[in-house]
Amino acid sequence: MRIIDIITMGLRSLFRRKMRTMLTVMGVVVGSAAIVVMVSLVVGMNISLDKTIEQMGDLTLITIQSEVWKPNDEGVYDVTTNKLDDALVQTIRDMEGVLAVSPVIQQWQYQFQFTAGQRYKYQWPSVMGIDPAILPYLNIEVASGELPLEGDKNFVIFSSETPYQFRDPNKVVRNWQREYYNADGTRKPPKVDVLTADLKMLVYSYEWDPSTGQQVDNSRKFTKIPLNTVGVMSDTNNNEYQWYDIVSIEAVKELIAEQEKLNKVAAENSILGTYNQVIVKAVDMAAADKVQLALMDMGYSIDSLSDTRKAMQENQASIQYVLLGVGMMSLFVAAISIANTMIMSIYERTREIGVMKVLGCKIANIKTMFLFEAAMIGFIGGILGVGLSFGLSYAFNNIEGLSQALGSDMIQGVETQLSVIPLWLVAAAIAFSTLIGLISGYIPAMRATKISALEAIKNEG
Amino acid sequence: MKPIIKVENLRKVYRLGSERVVALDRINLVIHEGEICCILGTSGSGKSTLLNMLAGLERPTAGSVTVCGVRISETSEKKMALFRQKNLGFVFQSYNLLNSQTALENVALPLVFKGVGKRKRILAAKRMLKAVDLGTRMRHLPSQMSGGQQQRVGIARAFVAHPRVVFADEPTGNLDSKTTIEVMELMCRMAREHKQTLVIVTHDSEIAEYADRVIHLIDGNIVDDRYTDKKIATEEISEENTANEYEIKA
Repeated sequence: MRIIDIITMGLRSLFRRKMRTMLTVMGVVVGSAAIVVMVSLVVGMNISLDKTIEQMGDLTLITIQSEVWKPNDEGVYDVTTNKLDDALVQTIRDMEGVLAVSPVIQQWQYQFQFTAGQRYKYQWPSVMGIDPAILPYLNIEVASGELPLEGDKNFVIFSSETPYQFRDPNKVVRNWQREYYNADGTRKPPKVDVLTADLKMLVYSYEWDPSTGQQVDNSRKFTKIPLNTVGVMSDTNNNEYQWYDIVSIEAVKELIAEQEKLNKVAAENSILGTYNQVIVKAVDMAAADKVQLALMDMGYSIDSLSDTRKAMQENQASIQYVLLGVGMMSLFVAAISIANTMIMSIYERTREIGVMKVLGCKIANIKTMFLFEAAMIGFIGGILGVGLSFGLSYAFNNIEGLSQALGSDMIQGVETQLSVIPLWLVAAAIAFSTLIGLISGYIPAMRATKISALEAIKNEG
Repeated sequence: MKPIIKVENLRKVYRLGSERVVALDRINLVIHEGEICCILGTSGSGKSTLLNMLAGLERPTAGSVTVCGVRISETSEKKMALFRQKNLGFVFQSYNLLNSQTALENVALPLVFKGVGKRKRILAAKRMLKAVDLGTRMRHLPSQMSGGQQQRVGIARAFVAHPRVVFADEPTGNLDSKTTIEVMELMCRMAREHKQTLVIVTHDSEIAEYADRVIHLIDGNIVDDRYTDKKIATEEISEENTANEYEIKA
């Protein structure tokens, strides 16, 4: 028998029983639409999750901390130390898919200071030394001033708050409120225009005068590094560096080296050569994962955003399993209904099958014919089901009351779609429904082949 | 005359609960190519069982059936499909046309199973329908035709693939006497035209008059096997054949 004849005969017997075929197809439509909608909700969830995490930070950025606190097997937090040095920085720089690497120094042992002219000082800055090459990837926006170019040693990027912190240490402020705020409660402008002032940075170790208990200002002894390229972050800049004043790591190293020399710090106690962080920018998420895995293989402990994302996804997974379970259940019911329809159809056509056998129809052809019919029910149901899901998905995303009831506003400030149907889901849903049809048609088809040719001989009545 | 169907020591026993019913006792029979042979018997005589065995629809309890040189009593069902496509045609009592298909499509059905292309098989089916005088009813569904017309479609279907043997199971059982004559004459004419063997099973002794040879079956045994005058007038029968191969019981 030719394939085209098998197809024609199969389609004909489906159309002959329009009502029943339609009802069975409806079952598959509901089942496949349920699955597609559920999966689309899951996909939508994951997309909004990714968006949320993107907002938290760039997934292609890896930050390796010198100390990582992670819960151990018993759930107690434990610290792991990573040795971050120039050798590691070089190793990472040579890795595939790495765009930029920067070591980071955030030193608490030494006190930094910014000066503006002779009079104004900012005595307690949180200084972070980095390589300006990584700056373009840190998502730092400046409200005024400029960002440094690669290789610049004399730059500073102040946090939005820092300009207000320059004060005259010799001035006695009686009324703090009046000094810094206007009568109407608004803030007075900074005392110093950091963009035009003569800015310098220095560092000193703590020295205390035991007789007065006061810190001794010995800053005159030390080198001051001029800061020529100045930027101030915008106060809406949401990133993890927004509280830091960012300067060149070379400048920081130079100042610390001088301090250690003055204090006669032995070489083995030197803090130079180790870093607090290493920031890595990878070309994409896959490269970031690879770099991270490579580092973990090397024994480094990393607390990355990608891990956070995994944890969040795991939290969502349980909801997703429930959703998928509901979808699977309705498709299972549809499968039973296909099997039922096919068995009914075979009972009805017992005599016809017998006649076909007597006329020389091959058993394999009979089987194929019935399998084709069942697969067709699944296929048509799958296509209509996908169509229905697009409608439902549109309703979820665009009917306000519905999308709110289903919680599309759960993530603030992120534009999300509750239900997303990617192309692969369309293809998978149709293929899966067809497969369901085939599977549920298999036993009925086997039954059809077992019908004896004698059925044709039996006389009615 | 070549023998085309050969039956040796054929026996069929049915089990009905604890009882054993002997449907066919011990049948020996040879049917020659081109013969129109009528198996005559009352209900329960075993004639239908014998037909089922000859057509390979049922397996014997003992003995063998050879058709066109193939021992069909030992052929697998898979191979039987191919064998039927090539060698056998069937006419049923209740016509057994597919109700959803037109006369033309019904006639073409055996060719569909054979894998014949659409144009070729439609052509063949049209020729057959014209031969059974239904050239004007090709597009009719079975429900739009009378019993006699339906049976003529059935006959066209049985002969369309040029089988070597055509079996007819009570082909006129559902027809009135006038139509019976038409159908029987048509069937015999077609068989003779292409020297095809026709085996008719019936309880009606009038049908037997169309046959060359009548085999009378009672209680699973052949009680009478003789050639009609018509046959003797046209064909030569070798004496030894009848003497050796037909065991005639009284």
